[in-house]
Amino acid sequence: MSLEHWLKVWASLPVLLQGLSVNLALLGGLLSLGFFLGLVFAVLEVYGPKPLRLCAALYSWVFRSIPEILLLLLMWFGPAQFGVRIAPFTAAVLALGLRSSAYQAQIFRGALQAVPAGQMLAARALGLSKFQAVRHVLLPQALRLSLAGWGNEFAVVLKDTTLAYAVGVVEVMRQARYLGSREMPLTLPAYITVALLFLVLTYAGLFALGALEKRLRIPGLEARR
Amino acid sequence: MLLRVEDLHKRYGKEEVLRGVSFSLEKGETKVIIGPSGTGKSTLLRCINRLTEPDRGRVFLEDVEITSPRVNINKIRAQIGFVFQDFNLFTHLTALDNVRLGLMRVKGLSKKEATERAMRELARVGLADKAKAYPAELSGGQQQRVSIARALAMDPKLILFDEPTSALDPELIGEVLSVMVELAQSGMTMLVVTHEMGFARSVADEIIFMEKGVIVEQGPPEQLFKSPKHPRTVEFLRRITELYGGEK
Amino acid sequence: MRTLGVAVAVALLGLAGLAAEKFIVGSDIAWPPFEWVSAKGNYLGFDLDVMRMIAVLEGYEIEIQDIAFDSIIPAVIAGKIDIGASGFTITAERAQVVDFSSPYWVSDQTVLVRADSGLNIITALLPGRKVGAQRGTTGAFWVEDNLIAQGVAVQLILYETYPEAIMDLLAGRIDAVIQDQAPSEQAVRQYPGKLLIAGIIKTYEEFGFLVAKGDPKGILPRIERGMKKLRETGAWDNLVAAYFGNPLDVIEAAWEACIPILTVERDPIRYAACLAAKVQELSQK
Repeated sequence: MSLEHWLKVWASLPVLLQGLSVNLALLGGLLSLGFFLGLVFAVLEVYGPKPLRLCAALYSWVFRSIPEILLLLLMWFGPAQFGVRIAPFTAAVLALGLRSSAYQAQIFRGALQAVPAGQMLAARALGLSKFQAVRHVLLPQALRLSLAGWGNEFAVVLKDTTLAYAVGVVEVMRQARYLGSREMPLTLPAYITVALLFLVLTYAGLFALGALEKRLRIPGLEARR
Repeated sequence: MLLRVEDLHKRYGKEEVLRGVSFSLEKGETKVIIGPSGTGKSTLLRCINRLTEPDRGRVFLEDVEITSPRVNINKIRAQIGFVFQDFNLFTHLTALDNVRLGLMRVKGLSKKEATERAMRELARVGLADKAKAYPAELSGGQQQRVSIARALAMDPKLILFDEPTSALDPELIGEVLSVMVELAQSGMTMLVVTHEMGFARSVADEIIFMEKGVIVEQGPPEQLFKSPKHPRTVEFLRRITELYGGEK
Repeated sequence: MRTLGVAVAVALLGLAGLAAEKFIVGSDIAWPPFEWVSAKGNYLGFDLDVMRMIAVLEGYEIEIQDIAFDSIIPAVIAGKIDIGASGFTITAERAQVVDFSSPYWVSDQTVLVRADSGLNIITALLPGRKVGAQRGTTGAFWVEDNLIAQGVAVQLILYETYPEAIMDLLAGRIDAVIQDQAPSEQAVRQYPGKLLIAGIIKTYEEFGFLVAKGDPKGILPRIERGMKKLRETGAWDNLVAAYFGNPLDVIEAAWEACIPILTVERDPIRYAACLAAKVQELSQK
């Protein structure tokens, strides 16, 4: 690892950043998918009728049990059996997003259950339907409670986006390997650079979430805890 | 007749909490339910607006059978206010938004209309200046008054109070009771579960004494407090006097 | 999307024919000189250029898809990609699940060691030695079949990519790396004085392009015909001369100068001649 190698890697920074933008696109896709599905499954698991509750629990169990690298490969190879060719990027968003939704569902479920039962009662007593009560009373409180757990999930899935290379998504890790395979002495500097990029990204993300948490803080509530 | 309750039964597992309760309430009347803890009073209130489904029996609100499976229970609940022992204000909403929520989401009022109505009700309970405060920033007494405003705003035909002062520190009980007294005097129909005998004595048109899931005795306050007929009532009043020191 | 953009642009060779057939070529593009990504982000390499040239000759389009090496055969089986072009050694096991073209390259395995280790091909592979190889490669299989299965208890360490194996070798965590000859020579060139080819294992491995079992899309005959044309015209020899035994940046510079002949003028024969001449010219400087 001479200075010359470091300089070469830094000269290739645009390539690495371009790879990183693919990771960010993956992250955006999988977090959105995971958020939406996670929310739906959490609400179903807590408030749904029994059959749906079981379905939601089963879903969570399945997608939390299968190793993500296997999920990626299954999502990529699987549909091809039926003549459907999913692009690597789409397959990665689906696989990682479904997996994340199962974890996010657990985060939201725990948060929904942490909201005192009286909140639901009071909402129903006013004449709000169950759906309205969840939408206007339970979720706004549960989502605030979820933020810490969600930040953790963010940090995990951000790193998981580097697994997408297994199905051929050219993301930052793959770009780093390109550098290393073309000129082997660059391998370690390239990996360290990628590690630094992830340190920065994780910090920025958690900082933003922390700011959001502060903004959404309910006055008076923290003092009582 | 505004409210008619007929032969309500409710069972939780082996325990039969309500064992055939019937009574009625005229418009503008205030009735107070007293009785030992765990005797089914709260369950009775919750069965009336079906927050708890009764096993048997019927409830009518002005000839509409609430307990009918065909009824739109959300519409009915909007006409019955409910004040909880531990307030249950929505913790993420300001006092104003707590009062507005039902107006906008259930009654479909515009934000402007809802705000006007909500501010009026907050003023009525003396908390107009706390409209922007969150529940956690309010004292227990203030929270309970907001929750009364929340119930009032819906313009209910009847308000059910489930031990509204039991969770309050003694020095905060007065402010809540005085709001309730004013309400009763203004002609609101109220059904109140409470241990506040002073309130019962001065406000109630009728006292219902319940024990072990049945109504033991009911009658006007003077009669029930001065010359109770049933030995169980005598025993209960003796104990409650020891506990709370009689008049308040 | 610079890398992908260029790769796709270069890959889409059959633009002339509207809605021409398109095949997806899967390759683990981290194995120079057979396939690698240039400093400018282009997909280069002997395998990939052969694929591009045959596509022009046979009138179809290709799209090159970068995939981890051990995912390529599963992807071909699953129908995710049509052709595997990634320095695949033709083996009996692989031939049971995919169909191979006729051999296009012969390679031996080499044993790479640290220059200062004093190990030779015998001492590097004694029981207890730590031997690295890339997962799913014939180098790894050779260690399993000819050492471990025969009772020579070396410790086989597998890596996702071979540069990682080389890094561990340099760091002293393993004693040797088993790898095909051409990439090994590249490694020695890139770590002057640090690495040594301790010996060559004459495995006589034949490389082939591979397609799904039974070749349902009829690709193999076209690849064969294309390879035959390339050999007859001398283009094949030019390509070999350009890609093997030269520094990568020289090849990259030559490739950039010549590639329009293939992509724009669509003349594979002249392209190969250009590449060979340019590489020779640049490496003499």
